[in-house]
Amino acid sequence: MSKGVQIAIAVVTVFAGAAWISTSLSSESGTMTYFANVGAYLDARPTDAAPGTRPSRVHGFVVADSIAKDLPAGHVDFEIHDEMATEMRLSVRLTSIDIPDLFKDGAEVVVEGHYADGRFIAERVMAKCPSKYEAREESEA
Amino acid sequence: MIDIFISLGEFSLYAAIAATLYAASAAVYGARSQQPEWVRSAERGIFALFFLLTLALLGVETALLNDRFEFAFVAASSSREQPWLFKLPALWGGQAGSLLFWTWMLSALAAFAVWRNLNRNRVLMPWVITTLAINVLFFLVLVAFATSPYELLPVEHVFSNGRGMNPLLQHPVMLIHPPILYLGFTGFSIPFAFAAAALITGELGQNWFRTTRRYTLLAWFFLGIGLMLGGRWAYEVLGWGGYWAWDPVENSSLMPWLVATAYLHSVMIQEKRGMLKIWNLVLIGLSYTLCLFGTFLTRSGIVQSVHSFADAGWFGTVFLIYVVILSTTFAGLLIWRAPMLRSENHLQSLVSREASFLVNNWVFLGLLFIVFFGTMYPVFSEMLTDVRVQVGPPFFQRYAGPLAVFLLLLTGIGPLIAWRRATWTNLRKSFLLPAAFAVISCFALLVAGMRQFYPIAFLTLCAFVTGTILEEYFRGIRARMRRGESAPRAIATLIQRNQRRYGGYIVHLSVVLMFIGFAGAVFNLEETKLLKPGETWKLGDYAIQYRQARPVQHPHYAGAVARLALARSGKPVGILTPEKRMYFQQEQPATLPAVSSGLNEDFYVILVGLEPDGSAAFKVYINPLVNWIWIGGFVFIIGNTLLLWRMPQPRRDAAA
Repeated sequence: MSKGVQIAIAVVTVFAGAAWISTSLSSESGTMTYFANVGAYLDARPTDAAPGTRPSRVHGFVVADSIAKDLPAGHVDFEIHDEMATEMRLSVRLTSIDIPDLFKDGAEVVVEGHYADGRFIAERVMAKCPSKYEAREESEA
Repeated sequence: MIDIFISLGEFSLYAAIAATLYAASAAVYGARSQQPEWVRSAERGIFALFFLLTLALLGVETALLNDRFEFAFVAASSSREQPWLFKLPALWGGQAGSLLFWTWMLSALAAFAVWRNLNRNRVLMPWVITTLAINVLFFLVLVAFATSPYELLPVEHVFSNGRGMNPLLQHPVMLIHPPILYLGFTGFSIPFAFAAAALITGELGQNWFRTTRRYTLLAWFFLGIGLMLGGRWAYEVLGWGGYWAWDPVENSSLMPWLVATAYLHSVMIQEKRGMLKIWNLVLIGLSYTLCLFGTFLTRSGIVQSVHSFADAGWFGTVFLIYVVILSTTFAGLLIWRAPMLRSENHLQSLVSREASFLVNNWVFLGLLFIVFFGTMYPVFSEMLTDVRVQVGPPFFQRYAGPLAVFLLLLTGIGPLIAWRRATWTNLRKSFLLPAAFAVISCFALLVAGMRQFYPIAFLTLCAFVTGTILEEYFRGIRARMRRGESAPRAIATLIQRNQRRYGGYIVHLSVVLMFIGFAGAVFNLEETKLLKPGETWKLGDYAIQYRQARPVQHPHYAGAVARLALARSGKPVGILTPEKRMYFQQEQPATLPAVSSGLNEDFYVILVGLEPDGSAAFKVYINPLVNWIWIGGFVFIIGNTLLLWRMPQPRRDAAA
């Protein structure tokens, strides 16, 4: 076998692998998550049917006075708004009492879950440290 | 006095640039014009570079220790209250300082390699010096002009105190984790430089990899420990119950380690059989490139991650350009020299050690591909479709899992199978007992009620590999004892005479122990519950009673600590006190887990939150077999020490 053929086989193998992984990804839950801002997420018009039900991470800020905790029942309801277009809001129900320390009014959060029954059902909330956020903003400017 | 020292440090940073430029040019000129005295001079240039960078480093440390908050870097990563023991490592707690530390380490290794080769490898050395100098130069330019630790804050922003190092990093592991990791990263520059020199000069014999064997092994060893310490730190400090999150920064250290592991194996084939010459150069080029790429990933903020430094826009671009230039140059040299790199032998059989090592290489590269693909997926998807898609741990587990099983199998087969072409007799003699051992273990697991694929596969293969290792040790010891040596003496001479082989087995054993830990992860359990004071929570055969929580007040933080009484199968185990803190200065929360640790499993509990009525939310993780990973880590260190230790070699007698 000539070197050229060997290299060609290697390249084809790698691309076939990438293609196989990419196509099989979407069918498996939990392996792949869409990431969007509140605005972009709402623009995509999430519905209970796909693609609204696909697992997503949505980035936004907690709307002031919107947090309603019901720990004994095991959930927390709140709203998040878009970073730029603050009127774009998404209602979220966190179905866990695992609440991050930095979670409070105005906090920058990423909620992870899916869209169902007219709101976002989050299994997880991640809150960002304000200082880390500043650093990122500088880098994007 | 202190000011003079700091200024001297800053000046040294610029002088070091001159020293690097000089060393590179003098080495090239000396080599081209065949004037050894110029090469000597270039070597002194490298020593000077190391000296100057040491001054630059000490200058920053002086500023840190003396609370010079007029420097932006000191203000951002240190504070008055920080104990001095944590003021020193603040050097690598932030972007600018850690980059200087990287550069200093590179120069230290360069100086060491030059010093060790003052009278050796005279043809290669000028080009080794040039390659290393160019690498140092790139980092130096970044440190001096892009993110200098000597940059002053505008006067109106100078305060009497700094922000302080992230309290999560103020942990003993953080004193050693970054230096060890950096030593691993920068260590690959030495084999890379020798490989580049071999390509440039056409001296492509065994010299380049024999000379750099120990450097490569040491770099690989340190990168491995670095990965492990990082995992240990995450487990103890981050309070999410795990040690590995497939986070981009973790992945960026894993990738070069995977390639280097492949290289360490395949270079043996080149040594023994003169095969895979181009392949080995590709692997060493890739290892170092990935070290640089990993540094780029961590520092450019291109992939969002919990511990990326996330800084500076053009910095990332420059870095990427450099990585691309360096790797294309290396690839170009390789293509140019390819005709000189013909294989001396051919693969004779697929059932041979050569073939098993080759497959091992493909598996490692397969793993690299998966890790790379998963890490870069958000970037690629955003470029191609405008939608940022992230992949999580399930992705990596799903695709890396089967390869890991295969790799574990090869760990058992590779070292024992015969060179060239294995015969039935060889296979039976080597593998009958280990295979029987594996089958019995597998049967025992099934009888015990285990049904999941991965733990059964991992543990069965762990038994198989352990079987091969024990068999090898046993045979070696028995052969020596037949010649009248006592058992302990036989073990000592066995390792001493054949350090690489028997040390290698210990490293393999460490991998086996770690895989026992990974197998346990399949049974990990996590539960969250809100408890009232006095309430008891039953979880499996555990019972935890929430006694009380009290607030904690400290000058730097406020928080709460809870008392839990833990019992297992009705017997009291002890009191656990998980804690929650909020550091004022950095607005950084910290979750301090409480762990009841054992060889079979860890009971790991965190305090999620405390409500005004005194009830508290707790999260419990039960992590079976997790401690075998750390035990494997210790064995990894022992095995590598055996490999790297310079043992006195006794004169070989005729029979040996």
